[in-house]
Amino acid sequence: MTNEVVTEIELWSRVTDMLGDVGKRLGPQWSSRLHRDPIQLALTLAWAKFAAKMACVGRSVLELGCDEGIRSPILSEHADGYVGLDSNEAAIATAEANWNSPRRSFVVGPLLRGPQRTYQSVVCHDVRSICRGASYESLLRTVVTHLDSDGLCVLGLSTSEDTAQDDIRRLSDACAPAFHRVLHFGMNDGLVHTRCTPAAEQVILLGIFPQSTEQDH
Amino acid sequence: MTPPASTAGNAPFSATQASSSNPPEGMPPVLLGRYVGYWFDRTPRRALYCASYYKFAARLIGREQRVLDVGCSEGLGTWLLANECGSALGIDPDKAAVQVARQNWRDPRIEFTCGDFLAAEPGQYDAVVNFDVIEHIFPEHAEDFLARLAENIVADGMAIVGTPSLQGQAYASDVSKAGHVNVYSGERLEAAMRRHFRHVFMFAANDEVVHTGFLPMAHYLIAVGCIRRTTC
Repeated sequence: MTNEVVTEIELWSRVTDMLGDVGKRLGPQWSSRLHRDPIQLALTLAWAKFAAKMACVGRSVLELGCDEGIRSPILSEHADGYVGLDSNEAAIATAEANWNSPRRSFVVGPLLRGPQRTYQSVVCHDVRSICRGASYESLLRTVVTHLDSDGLCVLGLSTSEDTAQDDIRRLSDACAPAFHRVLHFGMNDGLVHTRCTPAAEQVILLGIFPQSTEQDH
Repeated sequence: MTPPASTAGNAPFSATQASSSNPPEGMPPVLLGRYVGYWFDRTPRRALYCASYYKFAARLIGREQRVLDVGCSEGLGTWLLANECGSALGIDPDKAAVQVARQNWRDPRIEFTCGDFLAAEPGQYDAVVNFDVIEHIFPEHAEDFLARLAENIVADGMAIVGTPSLQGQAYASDVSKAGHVNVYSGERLEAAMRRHFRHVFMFAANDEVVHTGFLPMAHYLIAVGCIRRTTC
């Protein structure tokens, strides 16, 4: 092929011809975030990649609070199915328009309702955004009822507020009895590490195998 | 935007917060053109890697800087540079990509030019950035390309060149490889940069993580050139 090519620009046009037409229009939430602080895209996708590597490969995945679905391509890339759940109709409409595929679907619904089915993994980018004022125990009950017996969950918690220390403790305390084992991580500037303290911009808890939920039903 | 749906008896749990998330007035919805759209559809982690490398560059360059982004494509990284560093000009020969960039990022701090960097005269900048460009430049033009980067920065300016590593090509997609005509090892990229800059700092990247680890095991290389040699 290169024998026919006379310029780099012609070569590049051949590459772009291979891309097809897969343009998308982001919704108001992510458009706003990108206009205000484009680094947010790197940070949320870094979280999604970590969650995907930990809990999504070859597994059925539920994302609680999927918002406009921006994390869904990474979370679903090697998953055995992905469902994004959010109670914001407009966000789900945007997600469906941009990211629907045979391996991804999106559902509008209350985040605390009992599951219509269970999943092998449940992920939530920011429990604070979906759990305003509610106890983390309530959230964990929801997560656990959505999980298979060998389930995994990845919960993110933004720690940018003054209450970070207390928030981390409350989320950890809620997770501990809900899973056989919980691994703690922190994330700064898109890098995941094992220092799960308020110095982390986000803490990430990985719950492994839910404990019996009989007492919760 | 539609208000959050009722949580039907689960009042403490709210929908995704929407009230503070509307785009700033006059800001359009962000379009992903065929290039970035393709990433998200086919290789979604690529969007993460690209945004992370631009973030790395922006943090190195610092504030109140004028930045030239060569090969800006749809301008998402250019906007990140403008937003973090002060102002940015993106240049790219791909008309469709530049059209998307201009539609998305309308701000006094950012401009886009559609054209061939090797033939353009963009001016003098505090820093020049290019990611995923030099591997598309024929080897016989690569020295001119690096020289042009150096010419378009101030004497104590900074040039940041990012490119997939030679070792990573075994794992590159067919679409990626179709455009790669000049893939560098870490050693060759450093040697090429040293011909144009007095100080060259080499970084390795694996996925979104930029580090100073063993270059032959990096899937991506980032060379940072400081103080152009023409000033010596």
